[in-house]
Amino acid sequence: MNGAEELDWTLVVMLALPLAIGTAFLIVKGLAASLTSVRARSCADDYAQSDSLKLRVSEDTLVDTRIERRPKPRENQNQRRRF
Amino acid sequence: MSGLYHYKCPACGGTLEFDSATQRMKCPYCDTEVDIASLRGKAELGETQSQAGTEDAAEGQTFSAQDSAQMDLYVCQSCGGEIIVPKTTGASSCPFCGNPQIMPRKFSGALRPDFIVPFKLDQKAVRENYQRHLTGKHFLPKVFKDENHFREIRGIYVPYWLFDSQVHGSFRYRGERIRRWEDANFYYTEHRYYDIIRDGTVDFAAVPVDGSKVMADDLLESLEPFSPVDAVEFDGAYLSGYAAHQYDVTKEEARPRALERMTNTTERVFMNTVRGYDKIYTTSSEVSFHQNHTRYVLYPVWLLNTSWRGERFTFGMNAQTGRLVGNLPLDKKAFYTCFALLTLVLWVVYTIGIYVLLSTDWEAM
Repeated sequence: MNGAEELDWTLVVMLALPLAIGTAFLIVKGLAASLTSVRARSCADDYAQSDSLKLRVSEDTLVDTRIERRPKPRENQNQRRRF
Repeated sequence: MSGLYHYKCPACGGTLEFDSATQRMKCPYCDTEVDIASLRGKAELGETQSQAGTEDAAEGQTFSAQDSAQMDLYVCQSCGGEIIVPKTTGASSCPFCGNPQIMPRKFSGALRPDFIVPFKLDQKAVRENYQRHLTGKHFLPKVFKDENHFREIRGIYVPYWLFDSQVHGSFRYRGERIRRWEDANFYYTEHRYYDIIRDGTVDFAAVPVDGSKVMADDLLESLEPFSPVDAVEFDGAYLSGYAAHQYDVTKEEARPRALERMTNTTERVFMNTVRGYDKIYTTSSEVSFHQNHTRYVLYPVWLLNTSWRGERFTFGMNAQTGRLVGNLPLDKKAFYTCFALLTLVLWVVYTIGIYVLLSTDWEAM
């Protein structure tokens, strides 16, 4: 028996609908965003003097190392039999 | 008590206005152009003085005592009309004859700006930039372009406080580098943790904070950047033909906003020096401000007011750079129609996609 014959169409359609609504909303919201150009600024990037950053201390010190070891999953016997 | 100044044309006696294209004073009646330097000390002070404050300045006035305390009354030297303006107004025009009027004492003594950036762009540039601002906007009602009309275009000198500072930052971060490998039996993940220290300084110059309570802060911040590059020594002649406001936000009140913005940028600049890590966390930060210096300046801004279907829209244009900002109305019908159509199309696409995905016998492949 083919998987398609067992497929529940209601499930497919109901799964696709919220996905479609969500994607469509994000797209139209993105397009509408160009209408808004008034935004308060939180930074003063335009007024930082170029090359004025003077670092007196720049230290990167290794303080800890941890190694995690995870066993690889063993091959499933049923899968092996099928091939 | 404070008088009105206006600059008279040496040729015809009309009132001179500042011309942004030539950066000179120009007579709108006979087109005579005059250098600003040559006008110094030649402004005409009107004979009639203002009657400010709570005095009952105008006959039959309907202002309350509280209102009149915040207003100044002047008499136009050209037509004799009464000009009532808020106390912070330093330049305006007569509502009856349109002649530019300057209130010089609003910008004298301790109130004198350190410098002024004259208007570089004129009304023509405003209209062109406004049309550009409307193009390529999705969901902007098509009729908005045709139906909306400028109720007002005003050139305004906005008072700003400029803050210079050397910001000292001291930051500690925790950085993490992750390395993964495997052998025949195991997956390995190595986490290496670093203590990262950054300490240094960043210089800021001319961080602007508007000194006017009546102007919308977010609109003015959207118009940035402003630059004092074009600044010249303050001269009342530059105000002729424009409106101007005196500051009503003190530098002490404005300073926290400048410090907040400088702090955010400093944090970002220092964070950018931390490289080569998969994860970075800030564990401590300390910022202090040194070599602080504040200047008072007038920056040029064009303000456009339009109305459309009973709603008012305000746009601003930086008269130094031409940057124009202002929120536009949303065509709700187009928005929801597009949303519905897009949903429908995507619903079909996703349905087919999910159908193909689920109906494929992946095990057989």
